[in-house]
Amino acid sequence: MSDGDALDFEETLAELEEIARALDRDDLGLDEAIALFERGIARLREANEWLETASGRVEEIIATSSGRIETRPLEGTNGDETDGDSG
Amino acid sequence: MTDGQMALFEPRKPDGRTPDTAISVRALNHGAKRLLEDHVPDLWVRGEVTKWRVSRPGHRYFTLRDDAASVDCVFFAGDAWRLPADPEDGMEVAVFGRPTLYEAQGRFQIVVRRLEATGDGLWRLAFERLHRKLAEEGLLDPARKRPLPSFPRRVAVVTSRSGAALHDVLSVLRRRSPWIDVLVCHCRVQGEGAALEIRRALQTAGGLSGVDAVILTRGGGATEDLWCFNEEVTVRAVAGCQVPVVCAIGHEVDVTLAELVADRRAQTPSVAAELIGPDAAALRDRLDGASLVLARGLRRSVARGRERLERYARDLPRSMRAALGRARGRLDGHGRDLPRGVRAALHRGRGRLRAVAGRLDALSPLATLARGYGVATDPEGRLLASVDRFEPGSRFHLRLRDGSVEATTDRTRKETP
Repeated sequence: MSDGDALDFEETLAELEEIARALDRDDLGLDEAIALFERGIARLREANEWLETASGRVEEIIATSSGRIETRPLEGTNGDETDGDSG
Repeated sequence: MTDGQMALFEPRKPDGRTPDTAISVRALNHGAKRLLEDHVPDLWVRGEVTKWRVSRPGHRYFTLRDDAASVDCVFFAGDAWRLPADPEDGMEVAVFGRPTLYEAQGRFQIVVRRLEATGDGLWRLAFERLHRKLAEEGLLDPARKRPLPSFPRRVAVVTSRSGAALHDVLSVLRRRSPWIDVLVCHCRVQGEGAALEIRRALQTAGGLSGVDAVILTRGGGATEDLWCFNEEVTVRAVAGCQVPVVCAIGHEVDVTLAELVADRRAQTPSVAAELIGPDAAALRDRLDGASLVLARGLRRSVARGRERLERYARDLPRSMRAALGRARGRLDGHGRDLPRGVRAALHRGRGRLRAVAGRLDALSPLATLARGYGVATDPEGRLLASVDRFEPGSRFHLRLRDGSVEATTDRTRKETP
């Protein structure tokens, strides 16, 4: 998973729950309701897109004799086959 | 000298038949050893252990005895490391080895290659000794266990790179949580020195930046193969890991101390991966649920708005007419242009209502039907959002993207969300 597409999924879910609660308020004006709904839909779209595309790396960790940590793609798996940003 | 004189003084070959041909002690012992080894195969011998002694390099010396006889035994370190624990004095064991002669001292002995106590005796003994020690230190205390991360991004797997366990873990994580970065820390998971490799791999894994949890695992195997997960070195490394550890060793029936000390035990490697990786399908369901909740919320807001508008539209003409009547009375025939002005104002007001309603429709949840959702309503047009609202035999409408379906409920099944 690259840092660029990082999305805090849990935060998104929490925000959606908050929006849903706000939409439930009886004193909510229509404009406000529409704005909340639009924001919620945008969050949903982001989260769905992230779920569709996010892809992690599978790497093997190699501790060198000098104590440094190196990584290399794990042989015999297709871990980086769907990884758009490995390297 | 004649040939006959030569023969007289030549030393005769030692054959042990006369004092002159006596053989050496070395030759005797060597011969006896050859004889023994050529004629007696390696075999299992049962008896009771006494005088157990461990030398500095790790060799074990002991005596095996029964009520009538005893025999010395030597168990060299190269084989004895497999012992889970040194047996207790008087313990009934079977040893496998070669009956032979220690030439230097002419001592009959067994060179032991394996030693097994009755049943799982030694394994149990070692397990119980360490279990007791860990319990006394509080390392088995449930309060020590840390919760697993609910949404991990990076997970380290400590296992053999060539094992089936790794394959299982990777395929479950790819399927359930494809976004997770998996870092594999290879170590041997059986044999001499495996415990030290496991410790090193656990230390590396726990110290990697951003790692949320560690899976320590290996597939099934004989008690002996799984033993390194009962060794103190391994168990303490699990307890000391900086991030939560899920441990799955062997089959469900095998319980190792590493698993008991870990923050979570899993029955199999696949289950360990399931405990770590949230299911993307379930997350999608949650998002779909959230979209329905949003839609319902907006629909309610719209309904409330419509109600207000309708009330307004109903009340307005009446109050306008009343005002008009009053105005007419006041103007007394002079205000003929006024009604036209009021009608125009009303017309403008209606136009604005229509514009707002159009915008509502565009944003209403019905627009999201285009994504493939269906909305069920009762014949009165009320939303049916729960199976509780469906009576078997009752009729309902299912509104879809391009029309609606008239349907009848056959049966319902409630699922706990």
